[in-house]
Amino acid sequence: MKVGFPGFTKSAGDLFSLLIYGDRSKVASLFVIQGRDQGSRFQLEESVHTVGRTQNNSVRLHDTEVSREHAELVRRGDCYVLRDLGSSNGTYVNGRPATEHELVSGDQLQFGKSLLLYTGFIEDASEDIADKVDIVPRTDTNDGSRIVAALSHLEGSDRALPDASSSSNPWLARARSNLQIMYRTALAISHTMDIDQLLARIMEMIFEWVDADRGCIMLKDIEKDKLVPKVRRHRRGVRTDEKITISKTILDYVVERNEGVLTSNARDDERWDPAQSIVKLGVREAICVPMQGRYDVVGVIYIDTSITPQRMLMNKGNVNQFNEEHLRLMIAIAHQAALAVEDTSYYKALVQAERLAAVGQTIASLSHHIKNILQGVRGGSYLIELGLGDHDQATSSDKPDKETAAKAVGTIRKGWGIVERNQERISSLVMDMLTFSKEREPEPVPSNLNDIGAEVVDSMQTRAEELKVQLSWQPAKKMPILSFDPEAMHRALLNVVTNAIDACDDVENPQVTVRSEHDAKEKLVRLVVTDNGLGITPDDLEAIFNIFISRKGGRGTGLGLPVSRKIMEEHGGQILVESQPGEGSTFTLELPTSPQQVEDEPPQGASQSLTSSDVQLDAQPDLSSH
Amino acid sequence: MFSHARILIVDSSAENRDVLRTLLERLGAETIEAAKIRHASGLARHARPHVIVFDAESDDDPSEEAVDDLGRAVSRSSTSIVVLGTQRRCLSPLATGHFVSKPYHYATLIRRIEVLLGNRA
Repeated sequence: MKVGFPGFTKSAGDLFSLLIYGDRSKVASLFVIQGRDQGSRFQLEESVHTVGRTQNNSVRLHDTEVSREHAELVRRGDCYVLRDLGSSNGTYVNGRPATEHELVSGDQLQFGKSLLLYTGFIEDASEDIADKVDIVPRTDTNDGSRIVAALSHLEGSDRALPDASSSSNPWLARARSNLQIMYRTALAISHTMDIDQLLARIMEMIFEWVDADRGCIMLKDIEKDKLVPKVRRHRRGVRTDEKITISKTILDYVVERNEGVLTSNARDDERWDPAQSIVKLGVREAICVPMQGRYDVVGVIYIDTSITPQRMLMNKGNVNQFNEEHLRLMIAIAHQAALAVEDTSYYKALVQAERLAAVGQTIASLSHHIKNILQGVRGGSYLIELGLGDHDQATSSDKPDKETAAKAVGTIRKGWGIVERNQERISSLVMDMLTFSKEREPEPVPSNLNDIGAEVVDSMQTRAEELKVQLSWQPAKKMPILSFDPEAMHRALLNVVTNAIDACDDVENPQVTVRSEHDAKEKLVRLVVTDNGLGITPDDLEAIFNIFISRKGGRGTGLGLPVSRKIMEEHGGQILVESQPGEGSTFTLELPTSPQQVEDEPPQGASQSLTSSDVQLDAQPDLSSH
Repeated sequence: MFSHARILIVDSSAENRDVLRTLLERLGAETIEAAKIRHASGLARHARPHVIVFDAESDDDPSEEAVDDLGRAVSRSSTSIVVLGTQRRCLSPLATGHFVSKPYHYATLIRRIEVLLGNRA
């Protein structure tokens, strides 16, 4: 069974791969763009991958029309060869049945009702043309060229299409008119990625150019294997309660043969005889065209018009509203529309895939951290349980065993400490999640940054001592009172200091210094955290602010720095980082001292926009004195 | 069963190592610890533990070489190994079948170690 759907040109395959995979483009992959597994991505790393319905396949598709072992992908050099394994419904590549096919990037693979896009390996040795193109500075006088004309994109499009009626040659006039229609159609539909808006716009364009009474656009529903009406339109003055009846025969013909049709229910032999007293209801003409996309028909466009008996009699020589030219024009419009529909459908699949990937990654990362915290709680609570048992045993007899009882209390304390620490961890994780998800808005109050620094350092001393890190605090002598959210700022600094202490693991003489600064000249205050830990490589410097990217292994949630950055930005500030691998890092949390003042009161001497009443012209100079 | 038993704990979490050590020493076992796989193989060769309790997911950067080295140390001395993880197929050279799924209950883990020590006896 053949299924048509939005597809891609092969040349777009590489671009798509780069957009999706970025620096992971070295791995070939399959991306499900249609079907129950839409949005799933399968990386191809092994020499053989099997495709099928059952669990043992590396590319498993939840599709009842896929065979248990449907096909396999065998690596051959830098590409994969697709082989059908005698499947019940066959394997298709780019709409054509295939038993064996060497895949290239951009190929569309169909198994059952599932459509997958193959992206191959991006060659490392892609041509670097950076040294083959020279951008000449403006001041370079060796280049003798100068701008002789300039047009904006809108002006250009108008001028490219002279008025169609201006030509005395009817054929040329028609050709220009059609070109204008096509160009404007392309422009009109190029700016929307929403399918419903797109189809409405297409219908609007058609009614501008073609004298139709009614029209509708139907798209293929792959799941139900039928055409589903999406948009309907009536010309003003035409009854809207009347259903648009379309012959299924015509629709099937159009879709299966991929041909546009012009139909009429007029009967030439009787109509135009004025002697006839038979009053007919009128003639209905219709055009139905396929929306031919890159690989297959994605739907149809239907328009019709009704010619009244009076008009028939008045124009007995020519009653046809639609002609072959209209048909050709509609076919061309429909093709453009199909390409646009394919692009919007792809975009939707892409967005959905990215959303699914992000949700999946979020869930996986959170599960991992919660699992570790749960393990800690289990350990602590088990120690408490054992300690209580030991204590009961030691104290229940006539001669209490004080030593055993004391030991039991020690076990209980240890267990409670572990439980308490893990409570803090889950609380910290939840707070970071809330902060990052914008659930919590900053609540600024007059506060002192030195207080924040002191509190954070104080709270982290125990942890620093456990890891044998020397943690010191150097407050600025003078710190202005600023308006900020003290809890949020505490969190922002805490995350950075925690990271600094962890970075000093496995380092000799580990030290972390926290200091505050007031830069009156720059109107900034700063909290600066310096460590002599492992440092951060240049490649990682930007990535550390990405959510769920942690270099701390199981200890890091990957939320700390993104949250800190978010908090600083919400306060009009920023986080800066400098680092040398092997030497340590410095994180600077910067806040402006008076953001509100900057916004509401422009500094003295700044230029202001003038109105005409602000300007008084001097009187004409008296030239008579000269 | 735990008396005179020597158990190597391989887990990057100091907290988890602390809990397990407390529980095992309470039962009379001797414990040695390693935070990273690369340290564990050396300890396994020299200390010749009876059982290794190995958290397969705690080392964020386990090199293949370190894992293979630990695997060799285990097979040479016929030490029993309990692997802690989420999926059985993690770190396959050491996935010997003695697998405890994370997050685990310590009572379950202790019982598993006890069985392994009993089998040796």
